[in-house]
Amino acid sequence: MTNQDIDRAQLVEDHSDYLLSFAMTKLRDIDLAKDLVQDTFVSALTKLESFEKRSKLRTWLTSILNRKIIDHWRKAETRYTDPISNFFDQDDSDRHWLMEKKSDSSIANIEQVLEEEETMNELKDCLDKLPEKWNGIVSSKYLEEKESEQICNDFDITPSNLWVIIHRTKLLLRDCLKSKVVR
Amino acid sequence: MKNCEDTTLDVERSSFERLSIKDRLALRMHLAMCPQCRKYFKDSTTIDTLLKKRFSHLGEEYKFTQEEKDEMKRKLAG
Repeated sequence: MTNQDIDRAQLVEDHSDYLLSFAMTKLRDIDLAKDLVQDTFVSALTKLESFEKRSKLRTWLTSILNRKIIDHWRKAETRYTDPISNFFDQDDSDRHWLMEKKSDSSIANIEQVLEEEETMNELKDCLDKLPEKWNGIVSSKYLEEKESEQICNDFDITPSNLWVIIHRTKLLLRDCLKSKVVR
Repeated sequence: MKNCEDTTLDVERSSFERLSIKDRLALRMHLAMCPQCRKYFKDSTTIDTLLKKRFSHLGEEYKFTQEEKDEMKRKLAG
């Protein structure tokens, strides 16, 4: 495919909303997300020759966008010196959650208590309360279905960091969802 | 015997990679004896299902306005 073969306006019509929604599974700032989507189109048009027809255009665009999101995080880290790994050096007092927290009720029956749409809305709300990078990791695992090695690479973390993040994500989501079911 | 912390981390690790026979056995033994970790395992599985569902139909939840799209098209037209 060459630059001339592609209808640029159609590209925007067909993919911009999807790409924006994808970006927002990983980012909180909608203006930043919109900028990155626009950059994605610009980059895509400059390297159309590297697009292989075997892959879907949308998949290809998504991978360019994903790279931009990762680059954004990397830059943000050097700016604010708040790498994700710092999280693990901090106070460890909440690690022994089993000992201090008596969680008697389970959320296993949530889908019997809430309508599906309601459950999904509550889940989205709870996901928004996670640290932004954790959203990125959750999206990498559950939306993009990436292997742990790829996720660790993208986020500059070790496999044990990853298990801990997923574990803590689940605890936060569980507590958040529980608070929505028991009202 | 693994402690609760190792066990819950192994539960999450097992969703990415196959545990060794030794770890699988230790996990199963711990879960059989520890109601708290069993509950964690159950909740963790429930959340897995919910997250898979949430991401299985990522639609166009966010949209550009038509003006923004037109602006982008103008810029891309070069």
